[in-house]
Amino acid sequence: MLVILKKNTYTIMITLKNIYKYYDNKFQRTFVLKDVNLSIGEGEFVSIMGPSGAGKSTLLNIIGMLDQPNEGEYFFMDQPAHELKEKKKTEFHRNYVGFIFQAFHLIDEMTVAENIETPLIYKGVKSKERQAMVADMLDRFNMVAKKDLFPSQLSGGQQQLVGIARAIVGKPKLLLADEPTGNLHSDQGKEIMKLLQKLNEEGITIIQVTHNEEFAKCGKRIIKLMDGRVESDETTNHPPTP
Amino acid sequence: MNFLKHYIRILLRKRTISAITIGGYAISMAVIFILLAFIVNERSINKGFENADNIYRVIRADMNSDVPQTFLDDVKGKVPGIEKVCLYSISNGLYRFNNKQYMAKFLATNDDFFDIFSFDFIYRTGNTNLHSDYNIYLTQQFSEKLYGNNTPFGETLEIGQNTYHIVGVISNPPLHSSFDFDVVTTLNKSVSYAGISYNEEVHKMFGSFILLNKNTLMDNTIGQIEGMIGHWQAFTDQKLSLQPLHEVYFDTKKHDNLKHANVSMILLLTAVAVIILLMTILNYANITISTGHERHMEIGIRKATGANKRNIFMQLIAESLFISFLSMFLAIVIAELVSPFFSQVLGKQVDLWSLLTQPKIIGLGLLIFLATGFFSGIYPALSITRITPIQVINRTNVFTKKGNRGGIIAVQFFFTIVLITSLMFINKQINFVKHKDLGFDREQIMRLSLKGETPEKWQLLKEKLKTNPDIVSISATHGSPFAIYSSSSGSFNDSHGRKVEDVKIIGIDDDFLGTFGLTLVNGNNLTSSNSNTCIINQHLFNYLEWDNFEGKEVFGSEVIGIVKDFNHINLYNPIGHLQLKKLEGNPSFLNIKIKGDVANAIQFVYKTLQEVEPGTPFNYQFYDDWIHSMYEKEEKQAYAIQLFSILAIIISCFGLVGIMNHITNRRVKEIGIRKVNGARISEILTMLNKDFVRWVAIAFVIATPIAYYAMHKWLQNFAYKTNLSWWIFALAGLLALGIALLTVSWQSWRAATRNPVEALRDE
Ligand SMILES: Nc1ncnc2c1ncn2[C@@H]1O[C@H](COP(=O)(O)OP(=O)(O)O)[C@@H](O)[C@H]1O
Ligand SMILES: [Mg+2]
Repeated sequence: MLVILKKNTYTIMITLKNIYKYYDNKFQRTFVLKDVNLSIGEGEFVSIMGPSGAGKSTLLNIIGMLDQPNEGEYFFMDQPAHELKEKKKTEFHRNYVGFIFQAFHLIDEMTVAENIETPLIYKGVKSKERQAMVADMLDRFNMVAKKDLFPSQLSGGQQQLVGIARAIVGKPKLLLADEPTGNLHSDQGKEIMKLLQKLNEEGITIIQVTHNEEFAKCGKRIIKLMDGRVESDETTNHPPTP
Repeated sequence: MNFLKHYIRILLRKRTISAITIGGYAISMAVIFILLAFIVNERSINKGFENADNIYRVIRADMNSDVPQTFLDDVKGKVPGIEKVCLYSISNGLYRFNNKQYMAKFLATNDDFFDIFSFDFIYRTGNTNLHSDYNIYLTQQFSEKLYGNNTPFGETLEIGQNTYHIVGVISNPPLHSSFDFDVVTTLNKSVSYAGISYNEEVHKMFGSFILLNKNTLMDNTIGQIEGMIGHWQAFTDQKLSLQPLHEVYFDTKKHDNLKHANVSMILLLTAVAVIILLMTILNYANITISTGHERHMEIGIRKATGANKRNIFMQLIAESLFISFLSMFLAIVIAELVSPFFSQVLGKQVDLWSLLTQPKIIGLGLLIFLATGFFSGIYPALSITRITPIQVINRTNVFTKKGNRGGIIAVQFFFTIVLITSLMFINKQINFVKHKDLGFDREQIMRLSLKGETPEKWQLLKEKLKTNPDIVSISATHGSPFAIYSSSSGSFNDSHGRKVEDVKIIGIDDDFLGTFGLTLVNGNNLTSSNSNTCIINQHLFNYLEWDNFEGKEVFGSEVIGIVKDFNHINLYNPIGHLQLKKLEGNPSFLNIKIKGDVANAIQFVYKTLQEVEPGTPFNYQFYDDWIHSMYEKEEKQAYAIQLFSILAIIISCFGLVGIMNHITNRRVKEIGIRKVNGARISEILTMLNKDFVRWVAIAFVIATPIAYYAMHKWLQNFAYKTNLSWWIFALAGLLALGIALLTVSWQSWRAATRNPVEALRDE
């Protein structure tokens, strides 16, 4: 069940301490993240910005536990994520987090309904309940008529809607979105941003990466990355509507 | 079930590759099914008898399988472990029915035969048994052939000059057994069999079967049997052994008139079946990985949405089981369709459905099904489950590491080289045997079988036949080259006190040498006047270490000449001791050398035969045809093995195309960049081919000694062996290399000639 929080002071969800990430080539070590320190509270809506190659995706993947830092500590809801076993990580993916990708990453051979259903299957939700939850999502995103279509039969905006539906159907606490509007026209993009804001109001913590200043301002906090370092970290108290 | 639905959609979308995967797998499995049906059937022969595990036959030290007729009295009831003993001989003979003569297969034996092999009596008059010399039994099918559905109650049958009483009908000899006969007679009335003579002793020889008590120690029994027959001079110090019934079918070296199969053929076919199975699994694994490339995205997404390694692993295994299920089904259909063709190739009815009646085989089939599904799924599954979502999301190529498929390719080539080498050696050996000089003339010599009353009139027949100008010469013989009666052999002690064993005997007249183009090394030919004389072959002469043969005797016949060695048994046995003995009594064959028009001559022989003995069947063979047909069976077997090997090689190539496709796909971008930078097509081909050549070389180094060993073993089945020439190994290696370069070049040519811009845009 989702607990709706409406507080000004957040309980801490994510804590990053002295995070380093680097890749070793033959001759040199390239740092992608250098001494990143962050804490993000439950219910926040954070936008990460920065030039290409700054390490935004890497940071997001580390938070989403798809990637590991080389050095530093990461606590998720007081659990030391850097020490978590594979099993616990899967549990984290199943119960706490949803991903939205720039390229949507829907499964081509699955219908809209089946794509949305996938995380529920891995979560072990019973079939009946699954159908109900998927139906809810379709209803909510006005896609009931499209439920039996395949991704290739949808527009980009619609595909991303399915992507979001899939990400939130399992009722995660945290939503990670890497350039969710990057492949969309600005109208479609605006729609997606509205949706994210709404989801945030309902209590989901959101961290998005974006290049779009306007969309970034939809979040309540903007973190700017430069060369793997946090350059600035600002909180905007009154987010505008896109 | 959910993901299977989705998997089927993938299969449908990639129709070509799916068809290749499932089709290739199905074809391989169909071949395996057919081989399995054949092998299982062959292996089951003689195992269906109730007492199968306790039945043995006696083998003599000289590797013959016959024993003297007295064996029955010597052993029965006197050796404790022996419950039943039978002697037998099987021969073709004539019977008269409705005033016409026909051929039938006669089994001469004693009553114990029925008990040992659990024959049922369909009908039997009173308590009659074979002890009366004029009692016979018919098999059910033979009875039906003669009397339809009536029981031959009180009927008689004329065989030779005697009338026999049909006292019963027995169940047919099982199809899956060594036996094939129509009529059972007593031993005493068995069709003229020569015997072993030793000084004054003369033994009629027969094949034997004994039923041992389960709890008997075999070694003790053999010792006791040796003791029991040791009182005969001919068998003193005779070493015996017992051969279990299930080995009898595969022992082709004995002249026992039983049905046989070549065990080396079964072993070779089993090996080929195993190789095909392994390659099928490898191929499937390869294709799955190659195409799985496109599924990395999906796997990555599934992982990001909460799938763990186990979920993914189970999914891939289930998919592969699903594919094997589909392919199995298809394989059964294909196997059923092509089984008539392979029945012909294998010379045996391949009955796929009979497999289903054997629970063991169903179990084995299920095991193969699960094993192929599982193993061919595991390898791809393991490699694909390693994919992490981040690799997909970042679009980094998972398989950027080079050469991790070298092992598989080397294994493919290893099998290919072993197969090609064996193929060429089998071919070479068959040719060698076929063209080997037998040492006697076999062109246009007709061998006319004398049956019924004809043998008594042979002189008249010969005189009449001689009048035809197309007939060059005629020799009357008892036994003949390549058809010496199983028991026309003997042993004696030479002047040094050594035992000279297994001397084959052919009864000949003075025209024998001329008819067969044989030459004397020493001495003279037989003359029509001198009786009790003989000619021996060089082999025996040399063995006896005589200075000269003057005044010497073999089996009581005076030696008057030495004939140059010729192959008198067959090409699977080396030349042995031979006595050509002046014919006494009636011959069994007339050997007629024809020059000129053969068809006319045959017509003439037929007419003359009918004049001399009206109504007698015309039964003849030409030596060259006949010898050819003996090798035809071998050739047919070799052909079957070659066909299956070629199928295996094709299946292997098929796998190579799969791998190569994968590798070139992976390097499409690299090829594009190289071309943009000015690389020539030839340079790119060289680059792509280089790795393959290395793997072929590695496979060659490993395969050659193994193929050498296998062929060395196989050649031991033959008395005359072709050389294990080095050039065959070299040629096999070159051929494998050729296959490699062809499949590889075909793929790499396509990759190399592609427009580089196109290749780069794909990314
Ligand atoms: N697997 C990898 N090996 C080497 N370098 C990498 C790898 N993944 C990412 N990088 C490098 O890390 C840097 C940051 O990447 P990324 O986090 O994707 O940047 P952003 O998302 O901000 O554009 C880039 O310079 C990229 O080249
Ligand atoms: Mg990025």
